[in-house]
Amino acid sequence: MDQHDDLQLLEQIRSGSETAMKRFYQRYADIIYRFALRTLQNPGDASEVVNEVLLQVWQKPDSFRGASSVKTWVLGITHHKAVDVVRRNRRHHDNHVSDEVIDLETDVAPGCMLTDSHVMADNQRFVRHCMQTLSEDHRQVVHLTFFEELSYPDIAGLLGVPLGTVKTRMMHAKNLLMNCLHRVTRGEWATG
Amino acid sequence: MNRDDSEQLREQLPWAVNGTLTPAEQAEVDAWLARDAAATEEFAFLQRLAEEVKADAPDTIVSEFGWERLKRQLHTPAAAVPTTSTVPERPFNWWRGMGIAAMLVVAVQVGWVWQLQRDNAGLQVSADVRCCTG
Repeated sequence: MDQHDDLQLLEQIRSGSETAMKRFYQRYADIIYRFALRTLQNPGDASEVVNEVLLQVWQKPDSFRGASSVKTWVLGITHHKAVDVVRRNRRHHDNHVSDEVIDLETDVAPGCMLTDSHVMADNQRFVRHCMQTLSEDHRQVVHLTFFEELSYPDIAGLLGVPLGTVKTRMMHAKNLLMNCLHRVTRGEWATG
Repeated sequence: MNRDDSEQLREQLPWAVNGTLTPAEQAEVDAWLARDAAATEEFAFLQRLAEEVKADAPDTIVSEFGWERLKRQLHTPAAAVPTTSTVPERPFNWWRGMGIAAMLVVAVQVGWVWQLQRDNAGLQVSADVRCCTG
């Protein structure tokens, strides 16, 4: 399915077609879920974000202005819904949340420690572990780049940040992942 | 090529991996990779990382049950649709607010009475002083 099909679906959703909405759900639910899960790391919250995003598409299809692809637009809505959840959860944990916290630009790695008993079986699990040690901002950029294969201007647009911020976040994420993978694989993932 | 140029190209490597750079950017990165062994090693790391990230996809959540759940909400008024919050927002407690306001009123009154008593005592003392000094 391409952008043209997406636009047709949106047109039909505008006119209230549930059939079109079902096709949209089948096409985008997994994409939304994976991005929300990568951001929130909580399957329950991610699943609720899927519903919220798709409801917003149903209720406000006109908010798509055609400045990006439909996929980028949907991922942008997902980002905003996920940030809302992060803020609510952080408020609950009595942590003061500000934009500086959300736009964390630090190289201070959260705990990246695996004891022998935690050492995982394969590369995929090492990568998953190290991804989980990143901040939401860093995880999002890695996911959007490597999983969704979006360009950096698209990522900047959907996250609502400057191009330079996307590149900086990616550089920090890459360095943190390199260090973490080097540590947990005892050098097997080493690179220059 | 100076250090700043290398840094700029290094920043673009992840998007060289996913193939979304413009042709001009891609050509610059390719030329850099051809002459810099460390860059080639970093590129290989990013390629491997991209493969692992792609392989680590969660199972699909698309299901008839998921669609039915969403469909039920499509025609529900927006206000009635539950939000993602796992933590219910605490509503403003009017009784608590009124209690705080009442305490403030009492505190102001006590302060006012105390000030009045102090002023009266001061007047009494000055009257006594005037009386004694004649």
